[in-house]
Amino acid sequence: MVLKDFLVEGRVAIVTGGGRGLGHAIALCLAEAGADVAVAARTREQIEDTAAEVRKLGRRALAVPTDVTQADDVDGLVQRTLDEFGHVDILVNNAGIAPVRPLVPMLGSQPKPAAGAWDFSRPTSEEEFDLVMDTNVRSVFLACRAVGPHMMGRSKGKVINVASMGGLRGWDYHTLYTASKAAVINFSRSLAREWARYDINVNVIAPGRFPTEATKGQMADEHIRRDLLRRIPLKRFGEPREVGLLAVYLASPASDYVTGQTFGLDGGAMVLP
Amino acid sequence: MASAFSLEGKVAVVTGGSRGIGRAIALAMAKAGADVVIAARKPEDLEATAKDIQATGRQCLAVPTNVRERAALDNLVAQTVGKFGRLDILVNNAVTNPHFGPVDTAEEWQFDVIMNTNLKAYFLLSNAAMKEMQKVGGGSIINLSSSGGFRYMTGLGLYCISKAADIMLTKVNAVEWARYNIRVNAIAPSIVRTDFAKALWDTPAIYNQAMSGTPLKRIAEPEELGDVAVFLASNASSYITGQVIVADGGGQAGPPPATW
Repeated sequence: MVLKDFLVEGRVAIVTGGGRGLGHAIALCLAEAGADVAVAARTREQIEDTAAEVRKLGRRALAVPTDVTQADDVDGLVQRTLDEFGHVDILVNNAGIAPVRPLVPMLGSQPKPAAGAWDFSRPTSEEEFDLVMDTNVRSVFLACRAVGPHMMGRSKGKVINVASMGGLRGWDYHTLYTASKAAVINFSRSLAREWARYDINVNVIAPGRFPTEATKGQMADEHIRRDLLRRIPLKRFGEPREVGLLAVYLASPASDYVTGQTFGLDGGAMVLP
Repeated sequence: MASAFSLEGKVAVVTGGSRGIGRAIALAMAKAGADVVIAARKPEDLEATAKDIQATGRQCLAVPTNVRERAALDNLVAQTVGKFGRLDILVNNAVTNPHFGPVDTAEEWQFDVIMNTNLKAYFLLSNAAMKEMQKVGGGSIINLSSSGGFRYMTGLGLYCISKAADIMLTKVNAVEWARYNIRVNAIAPSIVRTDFAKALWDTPAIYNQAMSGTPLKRIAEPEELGDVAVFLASNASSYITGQVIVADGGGQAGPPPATW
């Protein structure tokens, strides 16, 4: 039965940024496909909610409040998961932030800040740089470092890093974000090679435009919305569940020969110039 | 959950469907719930695979087809719609490679045969299938390319050129047919355990050279390509179009083998 190849029954998954948006959808899809899930994020209520939904699907769940930029927190997340479930098969590094801002104030007309955007009237600060790199890159490094010895010991594992289409091309007013996602993509390529001998697959999901909390500000602007849609051949934004289903594929035995790859999930946008 | 990956109620056409990767894809799609039409030149091979597909409980139609003949491609689509009333999935998989060696040593007829089979047939059959997919509100086209479509493979220059062209055909069709909700993606395997590639994996020097650039240290089994195709054919990949899924054991994530 081919469809069995797409199931992850009896597997244990860790999903960071699992309280909302894409991480929430990934956690639920993995649970639907049979996995027990440890949900991590900073906000306890949100991950408790996701965990409750996982349990409703008949799977075990664990909500672990975690700051993914802190080594102690991330090590603790993996240890808690091991204590509770005994093993970890799937790691989904999804936590991230996507700030929109020009590197320095533009000469002439300024871009209009989207709701919640950082202050455009001053140059990007080093603290902002660190925040983006810590949340989007250091977090991936910390979590992979934390599960590596365990996955190696069992000679199996699936690591799925959520980057972005922006990691493969330039986006206006996204210098830090796209740089951080490009870092995740190449980190994953190298780690895929390093861990291939242990049958640990490392792949990347590169979503295009998805309406989530993180992108709500931008999407609220009708002009930006229309402009974005014009650049997507399928003429619609993605649904978070579509990311979840790709994660299921990459977590399942169906993708055992696929490693070091970046999966564009963008309604065809990458094909356009 | 499995339902998102299910192909129930769908009809798939697989060229080169009697052997190797095509056979594995046809079987995988049947096991995922699709009725399958397989096309290839040799009726005996087709009948044998058709029996295996029917044993999964799905229907299978075998259509002897030479993909280098326009009329045969039109006939393939006509027979599919005649029997099943619809066409949802097309897998362009039939390929050939009559030349091994530096490209300057290839005859002109070899160039033509490679391009006509590996590229022109994809183009023609996609066009014909697209018209049927429009009638059912969408579809999924899967073009078998190769990791050779991205990088040099010793002795396979013309083949690599044709596979690179398949990748661009995939992207062009993805954009132009997105408006019909037809998704077009490609699969780019490295060496797969098939008769077609036997000369590669059965020759220790070539095999070892390939493995030196393959982190997973094994070639792919045809069944693994079947799973990739089911994913791309199913609703689970509904936002993925214009992409090339590289199934190469990690090779492309790094440098080619040192001996290249």
